Amino acid sequence: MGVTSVLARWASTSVHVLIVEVPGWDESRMLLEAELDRRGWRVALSPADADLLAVCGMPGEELRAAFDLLWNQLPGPRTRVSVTTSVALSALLDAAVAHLVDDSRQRKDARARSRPAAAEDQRPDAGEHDGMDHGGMDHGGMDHGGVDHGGMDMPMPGGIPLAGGGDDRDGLEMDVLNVPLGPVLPHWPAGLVVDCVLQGDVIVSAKARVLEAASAPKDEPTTAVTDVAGRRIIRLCDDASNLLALAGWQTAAQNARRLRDDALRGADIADHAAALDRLRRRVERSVLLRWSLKGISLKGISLNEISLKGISLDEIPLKEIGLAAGARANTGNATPPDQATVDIRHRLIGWLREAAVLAGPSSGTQPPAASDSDRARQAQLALAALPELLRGTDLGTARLLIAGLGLDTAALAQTHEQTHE
Amino acid sequence: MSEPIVQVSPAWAVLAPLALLLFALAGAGLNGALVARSVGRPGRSGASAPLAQVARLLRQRRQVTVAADVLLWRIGAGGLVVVAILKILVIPLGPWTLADLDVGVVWFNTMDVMIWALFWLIGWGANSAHSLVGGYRFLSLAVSYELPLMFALITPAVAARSLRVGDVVAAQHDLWFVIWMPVAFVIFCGSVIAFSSWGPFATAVGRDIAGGFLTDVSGVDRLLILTGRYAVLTAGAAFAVPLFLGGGGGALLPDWLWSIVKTALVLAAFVAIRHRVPTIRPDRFAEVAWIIVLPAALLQVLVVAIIVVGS
Amino acid sequence: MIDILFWALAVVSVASGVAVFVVDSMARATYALAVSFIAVGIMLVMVGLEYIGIITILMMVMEMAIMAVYMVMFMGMNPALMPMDMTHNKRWSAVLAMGTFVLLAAGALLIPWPARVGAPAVDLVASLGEAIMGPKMLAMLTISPVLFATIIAGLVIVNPRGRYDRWGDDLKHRPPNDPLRGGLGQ
Repeated sequence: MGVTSVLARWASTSVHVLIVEVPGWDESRMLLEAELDRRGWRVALSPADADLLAVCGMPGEELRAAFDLLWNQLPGPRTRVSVTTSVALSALLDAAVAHLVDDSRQRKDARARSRPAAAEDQRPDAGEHDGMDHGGMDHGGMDHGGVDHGGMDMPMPGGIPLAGGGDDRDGLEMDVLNVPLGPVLPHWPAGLVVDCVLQGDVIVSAKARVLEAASAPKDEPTTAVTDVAGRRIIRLCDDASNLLALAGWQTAAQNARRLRDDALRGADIADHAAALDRLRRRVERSVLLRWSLKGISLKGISLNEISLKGISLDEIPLKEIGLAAGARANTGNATPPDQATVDIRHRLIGWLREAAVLAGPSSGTQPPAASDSDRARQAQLALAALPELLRGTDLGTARLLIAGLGLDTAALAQTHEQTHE
Repeated sequence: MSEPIVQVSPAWAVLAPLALLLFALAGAGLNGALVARSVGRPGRSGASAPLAQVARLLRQRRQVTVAADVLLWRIGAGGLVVVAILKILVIPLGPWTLADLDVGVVWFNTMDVMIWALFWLIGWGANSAHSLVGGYRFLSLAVSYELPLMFALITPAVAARSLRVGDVVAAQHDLWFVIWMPVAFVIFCGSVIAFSSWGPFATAVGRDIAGGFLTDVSGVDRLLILTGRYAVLTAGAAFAVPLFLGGGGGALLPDWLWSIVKTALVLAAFVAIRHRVPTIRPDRFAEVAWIIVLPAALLQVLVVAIIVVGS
Repeated sequence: MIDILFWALAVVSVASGVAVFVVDSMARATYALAVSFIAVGIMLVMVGLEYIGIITILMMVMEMAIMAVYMVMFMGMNPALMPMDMTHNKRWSAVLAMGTFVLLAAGALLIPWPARVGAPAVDLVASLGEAIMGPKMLAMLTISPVLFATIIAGLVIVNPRGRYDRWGDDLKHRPPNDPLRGGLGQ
């Protein structure tokens, strides 16, 4: 008895949390992430590594179903919380810990799920997972594989039918797997699902959609930041942090995240601009990052239409954002500005530069508040361009491209709401 | 100052894994401290994070995926620690070694090759997309890691004219090999980090594939894999000492203590590099490995061979 | 003690060899073969052939790790997951296998093996190297370029994309037109 409770106490000092975000509730997620850092908890990369499932926002029907599937994949001891307001966040997490260390409750949970789970293991119905999207992290990564379901009289281990074949990009025949990416992956736009057809880790074709929230957050701001510039800085830092993390530079990503959290708390603005600029210079100087991201660009997407989320480029003088300067300074071969901006690395530097300018004391630049319909149109265009963008890329590159797009799924969900009503 | 290497009684073999795990724990603690500092918490709070993690994973139930190959999955998970323990059998601690094999250098390399199989088995066993991608990512790069490593390992052996680790240490009595074969040393360190899927070479467990071959591993299996990674990293750091850093040689301190100090320093450097250097993209590394690193390793062997034959 | 270990390893190597044909999965069959080789490698170490034994383990595990990928690839990723029979043409392979076994076993038991004359060299590894690389150096020097040329020629023949596809008709297109960019842009 003593041993188990000691273990439980030790374990509860570092809870691993799987954060799932509903479109439009990014602020809840950011506040939660900041709180996790404060407690020394870790963000889990997959349900198998998580003790706590934290749902940020009010999921719509499809999202809720996806989250329930994820919930089934938490090994246990497990618990789940719903984060919709920042007010009682700390108390919420404390309650979650109490639940996690409560051995008798966890044992009851384990007993309750072991029976139906065993039944499911023997004969899981592949159809049940159809079109379902447990973040590509589900048990049957290769279920309902392929173009044909013809091999039905073949033995189907775990109810997984035979994969079909198809010519790959080198003209060799290779198996085809249908793998949905999203809606829950680390550093992934909220609610986005990309239904991929994979050969190996190369995406043959993809379809993108966004799962909706049940409702948008109430309009009252939960943080100290209410002005347009402040919110934009937070978004930019968040996007930059995600891209850096996917590029594999955890330290810089963490740096960007801390700057984001500072902005979220409403930190001293002058210091903040300097810190953002330092990060930008650090990113710009990294030879390895330049090498890693070289040649990865958002080809075929017209940035004049898409623009950088909310502000189209011609609304702010280029010099001020410094995109053109960034391009000149670092590529060596003079790249025209608009081409430079579709390069992922230059977008990243551009984001950080823009954030630094917005945070700066001298500029006083207020980005024009993009109207909801503008944001929605831009996000829609980006979403529409996604399949073409991802075709023929490997998973790693695809993730970088999606992160580089900085997709604003919240804006999309809003249009859906409007069209539905 | 440095005595010849002697083989000790096999009874000491009980202590070797213990020492290895202590080192691995220390490495994990350092990593935890560095992580804590990066999120703005005091490093000391992070240093105990590995213990919390052990407790957490011991409590956790093992989740099995649909149609998983559980046997192979478990073999892959449990094998890493075993391989790391087998590695340190040939590594001398000061003047003592557990197995003074004629071919100790080849033994170490053989254990590296085991890791090819183990990481792939972990990725394969789970039967899920990201896990498989992780396993395949490692295996497809393993040749790019392995060939430079082989030549980096052979270089000190050429200089010592022996594959016996004891002879390699003895040959560094006057001058450490790291001084006149720095390229081989750097390549060796890089490969050790790569074979632990760590730091800049951690792409098989990358965030872009949701944790790669770790995606679906939980409970004790996860604990074994994470421990195994640290243990392999530690064994690699420990092997750098007799191979390049003069073994137990050094002033003032006894030989065995020098071995420990040097191992700790190398391990600390390995752990720290994860927090400084971005990941090297897997799809781009192969070309670099074959066009730059491998020829560099070959040139290093050539230079050393010429010096050895000439002297 | 040593004898028991030796015989245990012998049993393991044969049993895992049998397992190759009994198991129903590509990956398991491949790694059963790897286990068999590891057991044989350890036995070689036990009879004093340290270098050969350890190199056997090294090469075979490496080979099996790669072979598993090829087995799975040629069977297709998903069919390789299907439970499948690892034996084909059962009757004739059984006859062939038994015949070979009887022949080899008879040879091993019936040949009057000569008694050992002389003692093993002090440094086995060095004398092995001497034996391979000393008098046979010329053969090695001839064989290795031929082998290497064969590999290159094979690759050139099967590769559907030649240098003209990659670098354009005048071979001046930089960087090459590849589906994936390499680290050096070669």
